[in-house]
Amino acid sequence: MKYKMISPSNSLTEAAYKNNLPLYTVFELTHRCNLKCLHCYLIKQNKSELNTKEVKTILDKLARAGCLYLCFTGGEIFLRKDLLELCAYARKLNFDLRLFSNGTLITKEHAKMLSEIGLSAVEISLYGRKKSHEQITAKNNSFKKTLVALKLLKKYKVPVRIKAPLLNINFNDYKWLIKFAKKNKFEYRLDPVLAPQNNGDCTIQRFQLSAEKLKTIYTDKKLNKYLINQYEVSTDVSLQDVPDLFCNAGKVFAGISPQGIVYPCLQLLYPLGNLKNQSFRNIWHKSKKAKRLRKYSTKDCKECLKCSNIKACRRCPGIALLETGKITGKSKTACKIAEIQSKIQ
Amino acid sequence: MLISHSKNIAWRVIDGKAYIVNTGTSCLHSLDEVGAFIWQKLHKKCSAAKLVDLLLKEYDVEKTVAADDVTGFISELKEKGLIEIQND
Repeated sequence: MKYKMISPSNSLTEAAYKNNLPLYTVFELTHRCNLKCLHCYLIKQNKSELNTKEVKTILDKLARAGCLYLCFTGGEIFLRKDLLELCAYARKLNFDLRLFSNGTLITKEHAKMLSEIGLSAVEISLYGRKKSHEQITAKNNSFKKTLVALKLLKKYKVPVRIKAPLLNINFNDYKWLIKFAKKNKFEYRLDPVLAPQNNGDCTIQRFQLSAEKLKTIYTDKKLNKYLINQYEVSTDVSLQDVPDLFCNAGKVFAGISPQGIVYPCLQLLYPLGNLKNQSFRNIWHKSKKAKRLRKYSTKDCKECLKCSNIKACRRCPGIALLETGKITGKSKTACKIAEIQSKIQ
Repeated sequence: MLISHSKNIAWRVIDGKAYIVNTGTSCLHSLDEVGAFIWQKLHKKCSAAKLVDLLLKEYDVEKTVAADDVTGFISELKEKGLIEIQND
């Protein structure tokens, strides 16, 4: 008999895939927000939210289901009066907890408490210098408030990551953002991809970077590893075979809405069930919809198979669904980026 | 000497193995089944002697071997910042 520490990452990924565990879960606690960001994908609705007890019950279910990495997002989560209580409860259940916030409502007391609770990080949306930031948030003084929050979090040693979408409004601020993050020893992530709104309305994509600006971003070697998600490895396309045109959504990744609806991902609006009246097990492991989703593969994206840019494609099935009405559809957003990536090679 | 989980960790037991994140460093560690057995006992404060007793009840092992292994294991967990040790 010997007690060993074993190589962790591969075995965790294998176990999660083998058992379809929702290892990574993003939980939207509210859709309410005190800002009106131009690029926001949420639709204003007056639906009721899960109450404190209901959220806690769902957290119990997620812990039992094997979720390890949990993220609370919104809307703006600090509009919930019970946020710190929910954070403390999640940490008691041994989740690795991360928060997404615009920072404008974070007080000294919040920062102190978050430090005690022990978070993996608070990810703060900062879009650039004051003029660009407030042009995007559509709220005067929001820049100053977010900066105060960053200062407080730093003071109380709460890990911070700055994140920003790159739009045609703040493109000229991206180097400033990097400099600001480095100066303050914050992590940072930038995202040049804009999703349509959750009702499929693509008009916010008018803020998407032009092809020329996207090319600048993707050829900036210093920036490449700090780009978010599906596009971050794209400069190595020559080394890749035909990529998987589906992602981890619904396999080891789950999303939960403020009403308790389970999605494969908050970007993939393919509802699997509601935790208010169903068990997680029934929704995640037994539902026909979840099983059907996991069967999709690259060969089902028939239009994409003929595409000469397929090797560079990091298609998001959720964006494809919003744009085309089909999970297997050809996403305009992905096509645009893949074309640029292919030309870079 | 009482041993317990550190404050800044997150963990799950999956397929008998324990996966532990040090949330301060984001490092992921994992333990085999015997390690996971001990790990779960450290959810509450526990002495090394108590851990040895629990192991003897669960596994077919010599007491001296179990005691040596627990000492080494505790030392490794401590080094990685996964446990706190409080003197009596």
